[in-house]
Amino acid sequence: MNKYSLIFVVLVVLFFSVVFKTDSDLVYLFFLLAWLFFSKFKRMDGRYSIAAGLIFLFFCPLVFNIDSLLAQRLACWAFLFFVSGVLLLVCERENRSL
Amino acid sequence: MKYFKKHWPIFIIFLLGLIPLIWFKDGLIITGGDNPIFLNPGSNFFDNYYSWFGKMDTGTPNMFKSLIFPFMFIWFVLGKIGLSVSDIQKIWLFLVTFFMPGIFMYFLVKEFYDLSGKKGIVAGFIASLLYVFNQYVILDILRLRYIFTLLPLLFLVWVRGLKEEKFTIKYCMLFALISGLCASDANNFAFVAPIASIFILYFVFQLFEGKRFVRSTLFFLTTFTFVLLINFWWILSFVVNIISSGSTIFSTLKANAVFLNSTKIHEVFRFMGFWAFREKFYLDQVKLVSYVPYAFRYYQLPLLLTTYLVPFFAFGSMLFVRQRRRKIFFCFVALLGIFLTKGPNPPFGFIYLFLFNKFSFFSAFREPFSKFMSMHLFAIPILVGFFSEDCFDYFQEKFQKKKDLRYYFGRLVILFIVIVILTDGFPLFSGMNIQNEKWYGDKKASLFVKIPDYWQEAKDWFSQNDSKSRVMLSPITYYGYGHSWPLGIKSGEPVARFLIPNPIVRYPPAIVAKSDLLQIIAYQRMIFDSGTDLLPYFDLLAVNYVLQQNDVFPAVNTQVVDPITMGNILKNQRNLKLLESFGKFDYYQMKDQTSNFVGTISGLDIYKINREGLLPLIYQSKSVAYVDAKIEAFSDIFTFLKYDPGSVFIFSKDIQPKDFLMEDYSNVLVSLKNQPLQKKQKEVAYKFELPQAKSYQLLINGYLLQPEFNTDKRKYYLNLSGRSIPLPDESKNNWEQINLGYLKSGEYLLTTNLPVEVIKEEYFTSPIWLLGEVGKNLKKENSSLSFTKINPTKYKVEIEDGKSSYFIVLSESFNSGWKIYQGKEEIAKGNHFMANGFANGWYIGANLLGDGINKKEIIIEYAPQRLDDISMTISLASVGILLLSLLYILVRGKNNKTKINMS
Repeated sequence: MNKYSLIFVVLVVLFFSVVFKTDSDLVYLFFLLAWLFFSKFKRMDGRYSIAAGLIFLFFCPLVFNIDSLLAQRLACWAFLFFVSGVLLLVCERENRSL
Repeated sequence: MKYFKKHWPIFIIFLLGLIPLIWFKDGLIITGGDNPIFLNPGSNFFDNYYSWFGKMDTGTPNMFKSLIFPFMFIWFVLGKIGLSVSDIQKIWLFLVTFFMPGIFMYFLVKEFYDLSGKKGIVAGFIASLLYVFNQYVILDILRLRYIFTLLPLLFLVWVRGLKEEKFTIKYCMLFALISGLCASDANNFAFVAPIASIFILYFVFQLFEGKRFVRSTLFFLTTFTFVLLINFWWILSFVVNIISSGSTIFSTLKANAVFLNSTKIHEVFRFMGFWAFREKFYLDQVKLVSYVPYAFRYYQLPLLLTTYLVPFFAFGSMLFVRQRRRKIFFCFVALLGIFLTKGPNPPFGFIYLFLFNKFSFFSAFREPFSKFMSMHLFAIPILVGFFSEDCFDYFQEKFQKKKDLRYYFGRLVILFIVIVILTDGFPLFSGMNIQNEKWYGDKKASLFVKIPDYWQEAKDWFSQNDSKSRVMLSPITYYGYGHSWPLGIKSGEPVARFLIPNPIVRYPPAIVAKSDLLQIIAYQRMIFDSGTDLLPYFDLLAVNYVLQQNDVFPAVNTQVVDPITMGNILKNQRNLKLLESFGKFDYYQMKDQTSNFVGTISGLDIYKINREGLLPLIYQSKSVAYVDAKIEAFSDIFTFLKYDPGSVFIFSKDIQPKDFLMEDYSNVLVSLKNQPLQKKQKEVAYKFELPQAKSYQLLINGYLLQPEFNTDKRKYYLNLSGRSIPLPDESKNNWEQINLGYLKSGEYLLTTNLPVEVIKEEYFTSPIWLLGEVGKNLKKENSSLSFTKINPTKYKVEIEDGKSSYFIVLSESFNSGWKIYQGKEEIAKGNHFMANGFANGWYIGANLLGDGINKKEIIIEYAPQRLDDISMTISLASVGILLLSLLYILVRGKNNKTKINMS
């Protein structure tokens, strides 16, 4: 289930980046919070977020010379997923220590 | 041997650290550009020691004091031992840039596993490799990076200190002592602050993680106190300077924040995003070249891919569960570093912009790339190290039963990571990272430099004859100017700063301080009006010599005149005498992009200023001339006022005239340049005030009376408070002089239909002047002054004091820190004023120094140096105490261990 959620979110964000070409901080914030809530709700391991970030980072060099703005947007998403991954891992540790 | 067998990466790091040696060509120095200091870093050691930096121009408070230790000190000492600058640079690059950071990073990562066991060797090796072979090092190999070198060691001590079961001050002392070795970097607050924040973050992280709140806080506070004490010698003066001139500095920085947006997040992930990396520029305004010729390779395969593999590995380490706690911390630091390095770019760039706009100190981070990169440059190598160790272990476990696969697979993965790191750092191996003659196809732009012998001869001449007097550099030098040396050099600063011992006056840099304005006028008069007598400017700037550098490249667009023309300008000066010439130099002139041999001339010429009696650095005067204008007015003043050596001028736009100044004006000069009061039908009106009753003359700028400006053939008129003054229709003189007779003090209104608008606000000349003169002799009566320069902050002055009052002028930039002492008591406290538009002046009242006409001794001193001396003593005492205590703790610990073993 978690794997499918991850693939679904990655595809949605990729689609969003390619089609809408937005750099809006509101969009970034909305996705970040939504993903964090969803991950907490589904009790997803923080490593799924890290994996999503790695996928976006992997695409960066591939599109770099074709569309550098797209590469920048992908790097933004990678950054946000890494941030959410770290936050989730911190929460997991907190829960475990409790 | 056993030790090295266990820690084999040390040997590889040592070998890789030798790489800089292949860059050097016989006896050459790598210097120039923004780092001309490497011409001889030890040469400015004493100049930077004092709290007043008198080496350049007319002096400033020393903001770069911390450079002296360890940076300048090491070069100074090694130079005294007899090592050449080139040899010291080799040692410096090997140790500071490669070997030491590599070793310290290795031990830091090893510490996270087990310092004595086998675990963590791979992680330590990979982390140390990436820490020294990365884009940041490639881009600016000459950057000062002691803190970068010692950061892993400091962090290792920090981690151990916070980890201790029982609080001891051992690690606090060790941390503080090591921090003292990073002081040289502290002149760049913006570079050091993000690194300091890593320690604070780890402390906070520890508080959240563990239950050692009291111990951790105690450790933090004790260490902070020790760091403060050890570094007190530079922190105090730094804080004082920031308080006194921080707002000016920060507003200047904010106004010049052109690289704020230059770094994008997709570049930051792979340690890139330097503003000039992909940019091009016109070399000598002719040839379009890339700033960094090898940059394009990073946008092609395979480097485009391999550079992204590094962050991929780093964040990939989070997928493995081992070392999770530490990984979370370093991941957090890396992400924070990435976030700040990208500046106001997405995502959430508004946060950076908010900080930049709301907090003035944040303007120090106007180029986020070079300031914040250090954060993830520290964290990502550690994460990649963790990833390598995890991968290695993973394959060891996965192929537990297949010995061959286990052996080869794990090692192949490590080899692949090593190849990726070394590929990314390829310019370091080929020496391509150092700007050479191939970079722009122009040898003068090369960073490989050979200093001609005649510079050494000039240095020796100054050292033997007069190493303290101010030297004015000629021709104009500007940011990025060059010398025609055997291998050329382009420099951000005049090379003379590092090659001769004397204080120098140069054409000011792009960001002009108020005290630089007089220099600008002097240089512009020299170039644009070669007939000008420059003696007044030499006197006001306290210049004793002019150093004509014939080897400077002429450049018309920057007013750098060729050496032949410049030589003629200087030779035509009545008060300049050619004293010495050094070296022979073949001069070629560029014409239609080809260079033609003109002749063999000397490399350097030293001219001495002929003057009688006056010692312009500190002099005494009986009275002052009042000028109702800005300092730029000097450009006009010496065209109509006969210069009298020893004059003092006060500019009403700079200071509020104090009572003691108003007692005895020798001259009154009023410039009518400000925005006129009214403007109707080509008539303008000026309202002004005459401070003293005198006989006045009206001076009309001859430029206004040129026929070309009188297109409607109008009849000029001028009214002074109802009194009509006849004007000529034309003039061939510089100034048209009209006698106004005796005028009382008070307000006046002048109306005229002269075309004053043709002289614009930014011109260094005025349309109209009023000159009130009494013809008083400015020279002192029955008194004389002599002085000895003890150091740049202290002068011993002997005055033959008369019964009447007088003024003393010190031709260093005005600063309230300059004070006069007689014995231990400060005198003339409220009588300090800005003289000559930039210098320090004091009014000495009659009998202030005591009764009787005899020689009196006073001390002119830059008072903040006293505080600096105290702070230096505190720091030295702290170093001594901490070293002895640490030694005692270590010896006692060893003895206790031996006792336990014996029992």
